[in-house]
Amino acid sequence: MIDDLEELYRTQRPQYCRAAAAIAGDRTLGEEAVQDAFAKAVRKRRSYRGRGSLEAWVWRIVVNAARDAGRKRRPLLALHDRPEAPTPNGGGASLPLDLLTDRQREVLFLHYYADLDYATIAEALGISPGTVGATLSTARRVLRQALAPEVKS
Amino acid sequence: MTETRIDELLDELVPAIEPRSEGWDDVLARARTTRTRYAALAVAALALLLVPTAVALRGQIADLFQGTPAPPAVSTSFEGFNRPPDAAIRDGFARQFPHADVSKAHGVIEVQTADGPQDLWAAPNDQGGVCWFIDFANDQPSGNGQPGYGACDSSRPPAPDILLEGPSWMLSHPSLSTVDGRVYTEAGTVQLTLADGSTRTLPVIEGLFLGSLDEGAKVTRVVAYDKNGTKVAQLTRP
Repeated sequence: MIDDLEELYRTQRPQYCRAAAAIAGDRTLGEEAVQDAFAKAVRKRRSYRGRGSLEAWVWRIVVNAARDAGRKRRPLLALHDRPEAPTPNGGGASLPLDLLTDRQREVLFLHYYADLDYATIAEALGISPGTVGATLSTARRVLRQALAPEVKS
Repeated sequence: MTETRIDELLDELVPAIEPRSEGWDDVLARARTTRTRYAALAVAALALLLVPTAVALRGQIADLFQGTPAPPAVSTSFEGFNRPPDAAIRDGFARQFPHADVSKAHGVIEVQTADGPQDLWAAPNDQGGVCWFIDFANDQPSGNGQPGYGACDSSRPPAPDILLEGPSWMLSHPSLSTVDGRVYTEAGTVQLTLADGSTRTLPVIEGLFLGSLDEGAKVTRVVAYDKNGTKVAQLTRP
């Protein structure tokens, strides 16, 4: 089992880190969350029951770790009246993520950064594949509408 | 066009991250560090009450658990097994009790319960028998090791061919009952008959079996079968 986790880590770490960074709202926090999440997966490997894929099980741990990391970061954002969208790169991203719900953001991140299929996203977030599809569709529609003026101009 | 723009902005938000080979050692170090911290956390331990009550079996057998080396907290618990016999011998109450070979403690059976995995660990002892220890994987270890309970036997007894322990419950898991035991003849499964007439079949691994029951169940009969399905032993409880 540890070998499987190591294989997952070595082959997919960039995807885990990218999605975790987006969820946490900070690249360093995201990378830390991935390290902590895999450490937790190693410790808790006996609780993996083989229902669903190991990959999805690890994703769930990573998402939780990234959420926790993001919450710790949140007091800094609370200094602003209206938080800007997370900018893990530290740059001036103008994607209006603050228009999305937490779930819409997470589905979007897992789909885009990790290229996960609906079933794996569903397992990772504890929702149905149908909900994943609907949520992703809604998220992209909201972003499209928000970006439309920018594109037209 | 807008879809493309969304993708571009997502790429700007978190640019691609390069693969790197290092990092796994750090993961393992973090895993070890936390485990050590748990082990250093204190108190309490083998808080268990063995009360004959029981319930309806829930449990799924994990086949990958057998042979897993016992983690330190479980080994500590096995070492705890050896202390009372030592004291009894020292005080003249007994000449010899089974002593577990803790270095050979390993996983045998894992079942899934409502409270998470429940594990049966075993180690050979110096009397030709086995010491076994049962815990819940998610319980926090203390300075005395992993919370749980167990038993030791010596060489094969003359009779009966089946030793049934429980149903028992632990203070920390009051809604679950556990049955465990030994089969002293070659067996592949045991079938438990509960007081309500239902039956549960459990695998016998290394001569041991483990099952998780709901509260209130009572076992009235245990029948052991070999791998061909032939009945090889039976135990009836009034």
